[in-house]
Amino acid sequence: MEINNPAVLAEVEAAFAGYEAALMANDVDALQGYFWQSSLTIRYGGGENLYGYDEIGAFRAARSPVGLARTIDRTVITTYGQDFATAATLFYRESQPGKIGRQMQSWARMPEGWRVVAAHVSVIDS
Amino acid sequence: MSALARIEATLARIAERDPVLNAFTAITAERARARAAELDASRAAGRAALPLEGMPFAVKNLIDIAGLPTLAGSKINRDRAAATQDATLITRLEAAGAVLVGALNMGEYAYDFTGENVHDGASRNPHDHSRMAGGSSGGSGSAVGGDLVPLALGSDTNGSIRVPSSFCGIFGLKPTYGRLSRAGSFPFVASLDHLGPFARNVADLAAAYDAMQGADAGDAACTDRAPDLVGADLGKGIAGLKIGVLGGYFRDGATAAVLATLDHVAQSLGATQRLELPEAARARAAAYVITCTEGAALHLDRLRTRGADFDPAVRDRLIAGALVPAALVAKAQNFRRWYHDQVLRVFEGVDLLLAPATPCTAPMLGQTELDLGGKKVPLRANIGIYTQPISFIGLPVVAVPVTLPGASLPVAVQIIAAPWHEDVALRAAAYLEAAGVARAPQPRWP
Amino acid sequence: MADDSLDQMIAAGTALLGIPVQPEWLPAIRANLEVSLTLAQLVDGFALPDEAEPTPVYVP
Repeated sequence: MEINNPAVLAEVEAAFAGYEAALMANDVDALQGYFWQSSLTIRYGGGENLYGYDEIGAFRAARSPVGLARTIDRTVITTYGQDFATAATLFYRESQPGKIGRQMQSWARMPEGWRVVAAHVSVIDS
Repeated sequence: MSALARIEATLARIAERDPVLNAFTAITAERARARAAELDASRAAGRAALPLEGMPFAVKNLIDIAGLPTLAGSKINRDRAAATQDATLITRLEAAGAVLVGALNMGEYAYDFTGENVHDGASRNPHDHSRMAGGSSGGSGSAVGGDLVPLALGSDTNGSIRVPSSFCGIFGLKPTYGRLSRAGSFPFVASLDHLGPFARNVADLAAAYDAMQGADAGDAACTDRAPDLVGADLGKGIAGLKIGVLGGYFRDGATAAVLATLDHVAQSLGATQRLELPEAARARAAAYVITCTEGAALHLDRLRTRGADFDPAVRDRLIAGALVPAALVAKAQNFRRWYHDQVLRVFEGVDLLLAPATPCTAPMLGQTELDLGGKKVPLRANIGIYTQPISFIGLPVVAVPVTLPGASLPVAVQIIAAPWHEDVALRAAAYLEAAGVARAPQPRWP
Repeated sequence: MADDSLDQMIAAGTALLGIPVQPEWLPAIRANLEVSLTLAQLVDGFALPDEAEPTPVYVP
């Protein structure tokens, strides 16, 4: 199994960038597009545990777009073989001084393209 | 740029944008990389460049890709055995140097003009993500309009190439019925089905068309005619061509913006002659009858055993189609010959006819009604009013995208030629493109 | 065409063809059948001579 095959890495980096852009725009439909449409998809968010694509979608739809802007830092994307990747990033929000956010995603290559199959977002004191 | 580098860039762009556009249902990345590497190796060994060298392309998912079940936009077909070989048109495009990167979303079983799909999600319009891509080749329109790939294949029974071309602002070719082989594709209406290409410019559209032409024993409807290659004739211009603008039925129900676009194209081509096609409304009705009845026949066993697994909007039309009295279908086929003869008589006096491709620009996703100057009409039933009477008799059509100054969305005009005269339609399209009138606009991103 | 005539047509036709129909599908099927029959009648209304040939011509 090859780690960080350049071609695979480029694909996941592009998908990650697209996800970040959608997050900043709070483009709910686009954000859902990046998640795997399955009941097996899980997102532990900053304040909620969401099981399945539909629960995640409901959360997105209800979320206030206020204060979502963030700066990301130390983004590390690693690919394993052709069909799996992890993406880890730190983030900072002006609305949360003194805190560091952490976002961890597992991406898998589905027939329809790269999709997040598991995600975890949390915040700790810096 | 090597083919492999081009494919990598394409795959990265798809990874970044397709989760939003939802044009693709499968991405054949390994196959694409392997093919690109082969092309680069043989090029390095001295092979001359092929006409479509390294060009990435994708196909509507009713077209067979070896190793994948041919979905045709359905949930039911997910249970089908994988296709054992590529469709003829894929083989021919790859022989010309193009590289397949994936399968594209579509309206279920092609009975659709919106590009929405209840199983795989809606394909989005690349110029406004809250709008339809059009259908049934929605993924094809979105992928090429969104500049994910320069070339895609789709199908057109009553408008399914021309409608997405219009809503997504790209060039589409529905060739003469029987011109391009349908071998290795899941059908809809054998009497009316055509396969054809989409591209962002006329040169690519024509090059793909030339690469795909030729007889094929695998498709009973495919012509034995030798290929009529168009590439060399594209720049010939329009001098001496008689071009008419269709009025009457083909102006009824169009928005003011669409009519202004049609008139602008007509003026650019110096087309002043206004013509009407006799019984166009009846032609559309006959196409509808043939569609719902042949479609029902095709799906009868699936309706018997898997009714609940269809898109309800498709199923309920097909069940109704199964009940239309056969005598009326036979009359529709008789009327078709009469209408064919009438329209060919019109073509004795003109080389090309112009008409809008759609009555409006791309509607919002989920929209069910169309507002025509204050009057509300059902949307889905009316999107194909201008395309149906033309495909009904298999005339070749090039859809050219036009965005009027100040307009935020494109819309396409149909350039319609007599049977087997794709070359004349493509020449006019090339002329409009060179004049800056027809153009595939850059997609919006993000 | 009257609603109950259409419903009878749907019931008899789908039974003959062996297509199971859920009751909640009926309104949409009826509406679509009405459209199809209206358009078929438009075609039917065109006077074609007896000698009119169908479009596809069989070549043995």
